[in-house]
Amino acid sequence: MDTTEDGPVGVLADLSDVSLADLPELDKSAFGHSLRRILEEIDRPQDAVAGWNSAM
Amino acid sequence: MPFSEFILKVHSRCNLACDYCYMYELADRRARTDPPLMSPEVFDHTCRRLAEHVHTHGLAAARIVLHGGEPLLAGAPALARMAERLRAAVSPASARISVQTNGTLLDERALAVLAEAGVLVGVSLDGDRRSNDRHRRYASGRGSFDAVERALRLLAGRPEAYAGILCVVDLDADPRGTYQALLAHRPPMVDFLLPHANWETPPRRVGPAEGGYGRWLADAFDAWYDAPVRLTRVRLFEELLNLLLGGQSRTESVGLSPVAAVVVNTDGGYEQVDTLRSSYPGAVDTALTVFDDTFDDVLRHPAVAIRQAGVAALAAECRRCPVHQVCGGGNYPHRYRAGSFTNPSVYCADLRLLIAHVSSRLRADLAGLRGG
Repeated sequence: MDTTEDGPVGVLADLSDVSLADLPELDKSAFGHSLRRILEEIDRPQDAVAGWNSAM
Repeated sequence: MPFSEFILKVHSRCNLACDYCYMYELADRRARTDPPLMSPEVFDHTCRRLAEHVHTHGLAAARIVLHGGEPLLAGAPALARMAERLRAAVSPASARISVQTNGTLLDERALAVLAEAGVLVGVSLDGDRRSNDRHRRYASGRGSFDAVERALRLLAGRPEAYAGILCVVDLDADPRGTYQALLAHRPPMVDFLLPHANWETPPRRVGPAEGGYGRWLADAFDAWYDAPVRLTRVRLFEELLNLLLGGQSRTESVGLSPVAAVVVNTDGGYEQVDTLRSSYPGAVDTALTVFDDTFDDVLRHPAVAIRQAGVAALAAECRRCPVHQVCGGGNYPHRYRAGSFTNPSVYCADLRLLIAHVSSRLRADLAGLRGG
């Protein structure tokens, strides 16, 4: 992570030139799941609600 | 925003005496004098208020958690009957009903009753026997691992009823070993929770430097993230990845999404999320009850409204920090200092370390994707 006097910057990832087509068909890794989730959310945006974390 | 997650304290007592329990061992210990059981009268009023809220706001779904103490002290048949009543109350909205249990009372019969009633079961376990039994013990001092392991073996055979495992981070445990120990129980989802602490009662640290919890979680993240096939979901890590990719979070642990959860205590009192009991006595109070007040009345309570205020609820120094969109200031109870929650999290250094680590892993993989 880059750092300035104000602290760390640039933690957000740049997705500007990534598409689902870049993902191998069978990519079932955590990375692949994460990319699919965000790209689907971009296609179908919804307001997220923060769930209570003391239960599954 | 209306409530969409309803936590019902159906039994306030517990058959374990875990040393970090936020209901019994931290700042607010009034659970000791709460009615042990939610009475039929309180439950009836709760169903009525729930139906009113869901229907007034046209909600398509409600998440309902049967919680404690230890909810299975109420008995699985009673929980199943409650689930049936709750589903009928919110219909035609759907109800996702779950129970969060320490697992010690979950035998084959109880699990069958809950599964038949469509109740999902989440279990609390802190890793392997040694790690779990360090904190999760009976009052006699005996560890709970054997009983919980039996329950998880049963749950692994009933995947339709298996919600997952909650694990509290322990710096004395090996992070990769802890993740592997949880994975052995084939959970569909895991979450790692930081021990409840705040600036008045800081977390135990090991070693001279800050960031021990962040490093622990970063190691656990790598153990999960490096698997070629995702073997289970890890809520905290998945939400961090989504936030780093510009999305929103679905957990109150990180991110700035509004919290839409409310608690009904065994006595019928509406309360804020119960983990606030770790901060000071009375922190969860609203002075409202299911007998006299609606869930909408609770929404108007200032301490509830602030949980839906996003960045406006953060301390000034958090708003200046570029990480705040991802950490969201951290879990709310962890920000408490001297009567205020408008502070950075007592785990700020840990969260920054973890977020930097996850970000670097993610960006490296994205670079690889583009390159190839």
